[in-house]
Amino acid sequence: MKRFLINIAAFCFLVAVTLASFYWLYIHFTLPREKNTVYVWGDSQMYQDLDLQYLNKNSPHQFRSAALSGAGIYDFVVFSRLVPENSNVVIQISHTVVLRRKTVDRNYSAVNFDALAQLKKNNYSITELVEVMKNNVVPHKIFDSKNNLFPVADTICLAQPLSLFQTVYAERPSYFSDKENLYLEGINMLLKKKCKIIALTFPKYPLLNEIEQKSPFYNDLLAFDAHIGGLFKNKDSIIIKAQGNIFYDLTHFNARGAQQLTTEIVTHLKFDNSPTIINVKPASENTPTN
Amino acid sequence: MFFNSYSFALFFPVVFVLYWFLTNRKLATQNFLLLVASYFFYACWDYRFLFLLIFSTLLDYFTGLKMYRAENKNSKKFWFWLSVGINLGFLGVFKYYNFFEKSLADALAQAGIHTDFYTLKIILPVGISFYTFHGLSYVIDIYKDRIKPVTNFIEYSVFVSFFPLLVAGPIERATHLLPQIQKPRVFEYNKAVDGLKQVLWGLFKKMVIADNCAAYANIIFNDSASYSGSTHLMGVLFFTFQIYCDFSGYSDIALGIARILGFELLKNFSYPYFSRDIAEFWRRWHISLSSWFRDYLYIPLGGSRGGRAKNIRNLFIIFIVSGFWHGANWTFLIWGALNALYFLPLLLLDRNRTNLDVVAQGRVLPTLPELMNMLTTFCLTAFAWIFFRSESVASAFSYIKILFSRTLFSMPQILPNRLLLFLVGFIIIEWMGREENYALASFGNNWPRPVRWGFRLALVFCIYFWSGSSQQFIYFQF
Repeated sequence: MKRFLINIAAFCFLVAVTLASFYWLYIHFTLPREKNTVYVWGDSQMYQDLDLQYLNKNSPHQFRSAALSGAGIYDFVVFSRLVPENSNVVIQISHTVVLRRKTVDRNYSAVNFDALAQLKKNNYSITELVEVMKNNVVPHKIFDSKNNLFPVADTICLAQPLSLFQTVYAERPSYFSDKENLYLEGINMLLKKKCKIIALTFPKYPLLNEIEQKSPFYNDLLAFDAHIGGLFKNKDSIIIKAQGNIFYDLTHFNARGAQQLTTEIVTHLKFDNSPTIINVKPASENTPTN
Repeated sequence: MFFNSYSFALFFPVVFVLYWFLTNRKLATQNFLLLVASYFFYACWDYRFLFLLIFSTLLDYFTGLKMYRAENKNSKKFWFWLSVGINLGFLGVFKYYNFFEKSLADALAQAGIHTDFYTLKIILPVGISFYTFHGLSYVIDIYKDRIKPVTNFIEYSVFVSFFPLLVAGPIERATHLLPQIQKPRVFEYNKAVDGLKQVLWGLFKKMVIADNCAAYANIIFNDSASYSGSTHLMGVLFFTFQIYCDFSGYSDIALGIARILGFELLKNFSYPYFSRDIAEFWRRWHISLSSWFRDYLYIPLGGSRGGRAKNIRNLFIIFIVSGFWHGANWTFLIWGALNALYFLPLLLLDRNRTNLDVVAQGRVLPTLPELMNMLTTFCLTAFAWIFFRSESVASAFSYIKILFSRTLFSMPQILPNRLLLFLVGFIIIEWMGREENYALASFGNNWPRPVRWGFRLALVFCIYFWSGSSQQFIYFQF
């Protein structure tokens, strides 16, 4: 029995060491290290609303994005830990990231034990951590230069039904403060690493704005904006003007809106030591009425 | 609680520690622990059906004793039929009520009579077919005076509900498992290591091969009209490997777990896809069920005695009943009948017991005739699986129609390279281990330890990184 238990323990240890080494090597080999790299993070809005290929062609920087649909706060924590010191960084400030259920946090960011420990400190239960680990078992290429814009149409697609958002905004999630805290910790970590940060806030379709404003915890969302905004000295805004509909659905631009934003943003991307927050808004003629 | 779930990964080590360290001094306590663990395992599915399991156990236990103590034949017969009747009654209600109700309504509708039956929408309790067959074999063996009843209720309950085999077999016999429950178990290093290896191989089969095959088979079978004949061929191939790796993977895990606990369960699969004819296939596929039907149905019906016509009748009965055991759907009946048809020429030519040994025994490669026979058997089996997998008879026929259309010779629309590579590797390992209990039993045993461990580590990594999206074990529904 003793021999059996020793062998089992040795094999489990071997598995753990090999896995940890694999993740370490994976992260270090996939991290882009060119000097002009801009590290991008966000959820589906960042993924769909910016044309990375255009940016890479028309700016002196190389944009490498960790943004993907469904990204959660875990991914941002991993991102803030991975980005090297003194880097140029573009991040998204998103309400959805704070509202999204903890167990749905995923971005295939690979298992990162430090990030998991940070979640634990912010009241993640063991079951929730296991769920996050499960979602991140198979890593994805974290920093990518590809994206895929939504097609242009005259009307918006209701693939994300309003009822879904009505449910999301009906009650303040119990983890709201934990996620907000993790967001702040992530940004502070980037600041500590002396990263030059530009944060973007993306617009929503007016119908969704209305739901948000009627939400019982709208004041908490405003407080969240104020807390995050407090970390950014410079405030800027971009107004999107385009001919025709610029929205694909309730939360994303279509290719027309994305290309317009990308063209505009090139002139606003000035990476300096003062962090900047840019508020993206549609022009009044591009703001559909309900 | 699936064998491949995190909850089982917590459950089993706890049982292991309690079993070998805390309760190992007294057999009764150890058996009691096994019973509690088994009931907990079952209750994790649905605690309500635990009462059904306990009732079925009590019924067979007491009728077994009553039969043994019966003073005359009639009394013995009464208790026997009471137990068989109630057991089959439960199985009939839970498993077949919906089917019969729908079939009758459909038949009456065809005759222009529209009915509005009261629909019960009965849920199928997990593992009912398996534990009912355990109980039946016990009762039948006592009735036939092959065994004496157990007087210890805990021991009998462990026999019926032993958690490794509770929900999907193998279907154990009282003559095989009960003596192991009744005598003290001793921990043996080699057996435990062997058990772990079998669990690892089972997990690989289930999570890497079966679950990945399932993903593609589901896409193709669920939307078959959108795909070409060649893609349909891939769909059949994927399902053929899915069902084998799913069920034999489950059996490997069950056997491995039992071996770690000091039990030897009945072997359930013996490389069926390397069979040279259908008779050999059925000696190698779901062995515990085939032998159950042979011993408790085929032989009592007369078996191979009593003339050719009776032989053929018995053959069809056993295959159709086997099909029906798998599920309450006409597709399973056709699957059973089709296999009986495949078997028929062998029976008529008295060639059903020609391939009793392992193919290419002692050789690396098979001969050309052996290879041709294996391929033919594989194709026949794979074809029959179309009925097994399809939702209805009509969809099975429409699948077959597209499969044999001109597009059979086009490039398949779905060709997952990584999965095909895994399949090739899997077939090679199975072929190399075909003379063993399971493919990894002696695979790499002569290698130096670092290489041996490296190989096992690679299997763990394949499971970790390339397991398909989790699918319920197919045989849980039976």
